[in-house]
Amino acid sequence: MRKAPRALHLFAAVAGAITIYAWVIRYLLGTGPAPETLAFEQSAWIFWLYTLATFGALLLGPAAIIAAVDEKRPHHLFNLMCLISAWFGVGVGRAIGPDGYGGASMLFYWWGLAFVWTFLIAGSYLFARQTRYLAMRDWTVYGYALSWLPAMTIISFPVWQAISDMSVDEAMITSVTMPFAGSFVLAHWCIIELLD
Amino acid sequence: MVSSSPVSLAKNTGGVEVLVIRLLQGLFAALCVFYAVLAFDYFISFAAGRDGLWMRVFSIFVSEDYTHGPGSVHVDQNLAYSNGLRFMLMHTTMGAICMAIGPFQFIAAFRQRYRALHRNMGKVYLLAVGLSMFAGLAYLSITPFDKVYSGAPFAIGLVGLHLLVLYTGYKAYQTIRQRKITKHQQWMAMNYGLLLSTPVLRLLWIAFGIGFPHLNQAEANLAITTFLIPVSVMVGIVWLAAQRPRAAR
Repeated sequence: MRKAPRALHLFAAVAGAITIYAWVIRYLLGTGPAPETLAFEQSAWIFWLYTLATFGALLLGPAAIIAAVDEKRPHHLFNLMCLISAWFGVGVGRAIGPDGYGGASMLFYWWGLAFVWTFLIAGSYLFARQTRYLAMRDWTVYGYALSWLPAMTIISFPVWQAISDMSVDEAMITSVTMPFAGSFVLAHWCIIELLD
Repeated sequence: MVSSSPVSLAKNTGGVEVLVIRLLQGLFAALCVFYAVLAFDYFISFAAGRDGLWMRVFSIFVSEDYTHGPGSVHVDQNLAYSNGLRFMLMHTTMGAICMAIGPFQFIAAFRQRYRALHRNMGKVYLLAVGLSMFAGLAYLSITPFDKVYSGAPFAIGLVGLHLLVLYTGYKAYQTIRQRKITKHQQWMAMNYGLLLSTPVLRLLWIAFGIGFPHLNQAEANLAITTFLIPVSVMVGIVWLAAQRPRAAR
């Protein structure tokens, strides 16, 4: 079996580290009166499970794509990590509530992400069953692209604040909206230009 | 090239599945054409100072208060739309042409039977999509982002959407010029999926108006923005997945 490119694992490790750093330093130990701080303290296990599952999905993603290409099978552990991340993300959204960054709109983001991610994973199993292995591979790639969202959001959130005069809520909504859409198109580009 | 003719479909899939796929294609095409009529009419009616078909449909499903009250597009965007009317007219009429043409371009039987027509419709589609997106960007360039509906997050999302539509349209054109049929289909699926965000947004406005009456339309619009494009693009990638051949058992 082929090995995943080291660079992808390195990027995944950096992205995961940034995500964990952001949760721990910014929200747990941070001095600001962010509503998320309180939410984190009250529902820490949800945040941790979400973060670790996302990290796991990031690390396992390349192996899942290789499994889809070489062994023509879905990667169960990767898919489980994605599902945990997706639905515990909804838990994160509910724990933070409408007073967190981004306001009430953020809960719809978490629900939207969970449904799209679950749909992709369910699709990859369906296509494996139907022996549509290329479709299964494609949907694994789309699923992997979504595991990058938390890291991209955390990185782009301060950038949007710095380069525009948006409010904190607007910056948060923009920093989830753009990577969510962009990750799909980027995954599509990778499928067409690199994998096909 | 990935085979998607009715014959290969029939070989690869069961007869019932083919029938269901055809029915879904027909329903999808009818809905797209219906939406194209609504979109074509919207700014023509707006310019004439009357409610268009869309506003009437929207009011029937939700309520007059919701569609014409505080926070509605109708009230919030009246001034901005009036200022950018020439661009919005171009944007929606050209977009409506794309919306009406698109579904037929994706039907394999239509492509194979009327190849010359498929090519000509494709040219019209790409020209219309380019004009529509440039007009949309021109509108966004003359409208301050905080005056765009739901503010800067939606405006930035729209800019991103317009640029992605232009990029995927360019890639579709480039690949067909290079005779790379499969890649052309893949880029077109993404392009049309992105365009579908417009009717999907309207459908979700209706759904949110019914399901979350405590949110006004502007708040619902912002909530929908967070997941709109991926949900719309799913239509394109579902179509693509259906085109992928099965492996021999």
